[in-house]
Amino acid sequence: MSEGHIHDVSQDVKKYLYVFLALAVLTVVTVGISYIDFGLSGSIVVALIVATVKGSLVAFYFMHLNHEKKSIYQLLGLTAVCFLILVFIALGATSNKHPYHDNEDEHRFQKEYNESLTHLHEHEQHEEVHEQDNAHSSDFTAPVGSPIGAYWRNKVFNPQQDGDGTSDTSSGDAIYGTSVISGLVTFEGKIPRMKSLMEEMSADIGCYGKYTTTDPISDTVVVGPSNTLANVLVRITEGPPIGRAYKATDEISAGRIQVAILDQYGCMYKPHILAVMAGQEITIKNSDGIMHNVHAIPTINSEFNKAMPKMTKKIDYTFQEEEQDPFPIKCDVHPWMGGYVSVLPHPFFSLTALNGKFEIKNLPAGTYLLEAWHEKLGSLTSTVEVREGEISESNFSFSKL
Amino acid sequence: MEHQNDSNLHQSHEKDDHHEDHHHDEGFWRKYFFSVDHKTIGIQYGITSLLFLFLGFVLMMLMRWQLAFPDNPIPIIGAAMSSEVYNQFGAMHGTIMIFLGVVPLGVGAFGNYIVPIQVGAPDMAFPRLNMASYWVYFVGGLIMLISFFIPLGPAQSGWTSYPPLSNIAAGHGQDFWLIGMVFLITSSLLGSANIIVTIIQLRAPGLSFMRLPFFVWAQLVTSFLLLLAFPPLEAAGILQLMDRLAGTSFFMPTGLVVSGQPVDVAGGGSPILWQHLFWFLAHPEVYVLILPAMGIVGEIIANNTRKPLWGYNSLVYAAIFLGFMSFIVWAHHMYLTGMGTAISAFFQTTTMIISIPSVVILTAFMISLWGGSIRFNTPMLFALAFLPMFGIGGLTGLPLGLNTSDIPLHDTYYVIGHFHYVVAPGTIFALFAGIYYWFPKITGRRMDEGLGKIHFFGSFVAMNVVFMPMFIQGLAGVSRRLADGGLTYAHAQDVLVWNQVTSFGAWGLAIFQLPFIFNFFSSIWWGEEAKDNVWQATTLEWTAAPSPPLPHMNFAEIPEVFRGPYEYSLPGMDEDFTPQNQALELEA
Amino acid sequence: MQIPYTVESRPDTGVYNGKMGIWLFLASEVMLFGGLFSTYILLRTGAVSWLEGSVPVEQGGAGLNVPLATFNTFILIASSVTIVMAWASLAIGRAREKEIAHLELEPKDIQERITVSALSNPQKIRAESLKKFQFYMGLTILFSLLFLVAKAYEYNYKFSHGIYPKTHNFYAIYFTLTGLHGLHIIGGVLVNGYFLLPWKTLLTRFWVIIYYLIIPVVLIALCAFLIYSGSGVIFAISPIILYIFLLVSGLVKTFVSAIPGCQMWETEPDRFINRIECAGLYWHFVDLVWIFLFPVLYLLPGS
Repeated sequence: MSEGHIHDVSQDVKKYLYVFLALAVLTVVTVGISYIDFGLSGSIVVALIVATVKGSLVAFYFMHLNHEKKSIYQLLGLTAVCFLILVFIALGATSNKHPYHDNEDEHRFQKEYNESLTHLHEHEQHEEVHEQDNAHSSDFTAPVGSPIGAYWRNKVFNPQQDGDGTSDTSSGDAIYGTSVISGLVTFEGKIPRMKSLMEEMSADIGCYGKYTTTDPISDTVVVGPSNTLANVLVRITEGPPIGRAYKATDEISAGRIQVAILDQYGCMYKPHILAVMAGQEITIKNSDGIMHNVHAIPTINSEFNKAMPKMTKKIDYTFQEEEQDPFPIKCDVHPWMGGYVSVLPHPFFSLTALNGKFEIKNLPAGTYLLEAWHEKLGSLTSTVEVREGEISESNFSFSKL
Repeated sequence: MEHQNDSNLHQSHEKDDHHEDHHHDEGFWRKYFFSVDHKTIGIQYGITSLLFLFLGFVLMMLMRWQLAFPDNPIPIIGAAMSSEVYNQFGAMHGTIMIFLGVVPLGVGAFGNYIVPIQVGAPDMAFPRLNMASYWVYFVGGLIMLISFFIPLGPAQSGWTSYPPLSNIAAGHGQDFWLIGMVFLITSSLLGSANIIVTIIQLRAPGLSFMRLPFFVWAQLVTSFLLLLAFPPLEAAGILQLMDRLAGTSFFMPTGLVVSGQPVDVAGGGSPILWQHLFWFLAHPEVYVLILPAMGIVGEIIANNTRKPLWGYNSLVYAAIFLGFMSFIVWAHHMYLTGMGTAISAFFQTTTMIISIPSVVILTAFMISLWGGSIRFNTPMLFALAFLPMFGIGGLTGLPLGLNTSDIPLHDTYYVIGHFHYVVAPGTIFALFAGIYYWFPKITGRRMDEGLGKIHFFGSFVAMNVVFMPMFIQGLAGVSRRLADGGLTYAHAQDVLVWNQVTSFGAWGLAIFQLPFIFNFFSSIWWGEEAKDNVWQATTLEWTAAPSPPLPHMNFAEIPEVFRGPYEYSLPGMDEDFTPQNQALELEA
Repeated sequence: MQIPYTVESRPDTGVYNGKMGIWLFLASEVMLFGGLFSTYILLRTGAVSWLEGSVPVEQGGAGLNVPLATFNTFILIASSVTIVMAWASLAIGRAREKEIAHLELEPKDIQERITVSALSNPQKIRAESLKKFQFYMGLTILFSLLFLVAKAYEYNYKFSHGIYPKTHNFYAIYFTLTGLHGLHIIGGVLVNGYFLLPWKTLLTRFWVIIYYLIIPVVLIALCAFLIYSGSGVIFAISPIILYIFLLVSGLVKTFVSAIPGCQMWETEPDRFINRIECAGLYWHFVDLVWIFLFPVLYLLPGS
């Protein structure tokens, strides 16, 4: 400490009290002023001016900047410059938000933005209509550029979702029975015509070379004779087995589920939809003998992207965690190649073939919530009761969304 | 005066007063682990950071196997590297090398050990704070290491941790990374404040600012960069932790869809904000990496050319200007985010301006060689290699500073080649030079010259084999961060062979570090004994302190300084070096 | 050899080491809060709508408690005054003490010397100023604890009404800024509490009991349990070895001798004044941050 503090300090004590009074008055002022309407920028300026005055009082009198040395001022000057540069970030970042600079582009941007807002409102209404029967819409995609966050939207659209996590967490050993649920999945309405992929495949002989007699048809919606719908995953989502522990290896050795093979032939996935249990090994084959890559985009499991050059005939992979919804799997080399994988915690699921039939066996008696899922047509649910040893029937009928 | 009176007044307390500063009978823990002696702490920093450098290097060698022979099992380990592990190793390689390896070695070890002695101080200004900063760094490093052993492994979103990718990354690796970074940043803040106060306050009598060795200047500027640029990253780290743990949306934009699923967050945040806060640190960080290296090279060049550094004043002003400018160039890492033309023009201009002080420094070093009677010992060889290597690194950076040429080159191997030329054969060569140069001061023994030369020439060739092919690959458009090195991309097929060349270069580089490791340990015990001023240098650490310097005080008495730092080959003197603390009268 | 300029100022810079150190630290703190403030600006300018702090939640505001925050502002300002008074009472006492000591050295007027020493001897002045200091410092800590209680009440009120950081970006930045500021307050309380009491004596007094009574009893109980549960003698011995090792290495002694608390006022009074000044600077900075946080979060209108 420097000399002559006694005079400075004992005089300063009085000053400290005055400064305290001034600060108290300014605090009252800044609260009082906030009730007067200056407009947004006006209020910001006024509030910051008062805060700066208060801050300066603290810095000058309490922090003794009023008799501080030059070296401290130099340091503070440097810090102030860096601080201003840092706050300049906000400006830089906000000007990033609009990449268009001339007026015409800005208007176009604004117009597109407004359109997306209108689109959002339509979407909201649409959602509310389907609210009752379609609570767990699985192919719901967020409208781009929506001003409301997905969080609020989910709160508004799916209010019951909040309690979901607690519903069925009781665990226990695996249980089985002899009941069966079976049924038929059909498609109602005008059958959409799937486009031929021949043109897209024409770049790669490894692809179109496999189709000498038939035409490669997109397999997103496959409808069989008498309007039966293929590639529908039917699974139980509520019922006695839910929440119990099933082990994939046990299920396979007992023959309750099949070995999972995903083949790439003719630059298509065979099967198009693959349902497996968590922890079940998937064999991915490359029968094409050309360069593919298998790119799975799960939600909970880690993302998986493996190149399969022509010499790699097969790879094995296991998804360890169950997924609530099926996730896409695709090939980045051939953009039309797409499929879905569903990773389930139990063995009670079935996939429809071209005849539209499904059958879930080995069920214990009870009431089940059944969900039928299609990648494009959404999902349907129905409640089925089944008694021990009996067969209950449940049919689903999809229509165009 | 008053202080003296005061001591008379309270003589009874004097004993107690001085008790803390006498450390003669300190215990084992106090001496080797919780020491407050800046020299011990410097050595602790040095050993820890060298171990981390080695770990980062091992990670990289494993990654190089995956790149050279994708999906083939790694020898000894016996399993192929999955792309997740590749990503994790990539992220941790960057983090470990920069935040746990090079910076602690350059600033923590050399800054701690050399700076107080070079300014003629008995210790750092705050010895206990110094100890705390090392242990905080240690804990940060430990957290990073532990993250390798948690389920789903360590951080995997690159050393830059860009959100939203890092925000939605599975597992807790990213959380560990963020918490570890908060520790490392805190450590850096403590350390840099300490170094600044030491340099400004504890300079020996007569050691004016323009008599400071260039290394001290470099450390001063570096410390200011750490002090003012690191906190925004700490803020960003806290925000990202909030995003990950409390579900906020600082960096999560509205309407984000991941794997076909809308993400359950409020939205309204900005991923770009993270990039701004991150690069606000990380560009100055580049100069944190390079400035201590330049300081070391300056010392060694002056010493081994036996003549003063050419343009000492311009070197100092260039370093200060460099430090200041580094705060306003950060967004040149972000041209790909599509910033507006005005902002981009501003940052392109500042980026071109900041190359000027770098060139001034490099040129001054080059000219310093002119007409010198150069001693080609190992530290000098490393220092000399630094010049062209840093030159290549710097010049290849120019295209990246301009928007139009940056956009096709960014995110390719070109960028990797560029900054590794700056950091690996640049900074790390300079740090090797520093180790060889100050080893006699620290241990009292010299490292072996023969082994040192094997180390140098082997590393020099191997470094270029490793990094030069990256420019070729990058110009061919091969993206960085591909776990298979571009195997599945048509445009990469022609340059795939360079992956193997680079990998063999890297493993060769590893082999040529063996002589160094052997040399380092054997010289501690069996090296040739060195005189106090073994290099016949002029700065205080050589001329006023014994080798090794006295524990807890460095000098028998605080030296007084009479002249500039590099008074070599003064006309009319008996010796070709004149110590800084040699009184002026002796000249006559 | 001592580190120079820990007590007196270096002539050419005009400050002592600690003051430069604390200002450097504050500079980095400015940058830390600067990063967060710029985040606030960015979030706010980028948002389509922004909540108004003082308006209740039902009317579309953020529902922050402005009267409580105003109270907190007063409290922090008051604590700034008390800590500066704590420092001033030490500085004034020290200066008077020196003056008297100075008088004593001039054997001019015997009578005057006798009067002065009768009225105020240095030891007494020192003890008195320490008491004053402890009063003001205690008040500062009390105020900061009050501040924290009010803050905890506010947080608890929010949480119990289902308002979390993730609810809206306004709350995200609100909780982050006030939370970090709260951490700074807690840090300040720890530092000020360290300076308040003679920790060295306190700890030496109680530490002996802990070290020679409580720890051994706990360890013996642990060993007995380990042997009883059949974990083997090897495991049972290890804590005892650890204890002996600690004892020998004298960690405790070092620990105790390293934290004098306000006892430094007895041994190195000038250095202690410096420390209080540095602690005060930090505390004023925390106050200063709040002075800006208060209007920005609580008072600015929404949009």
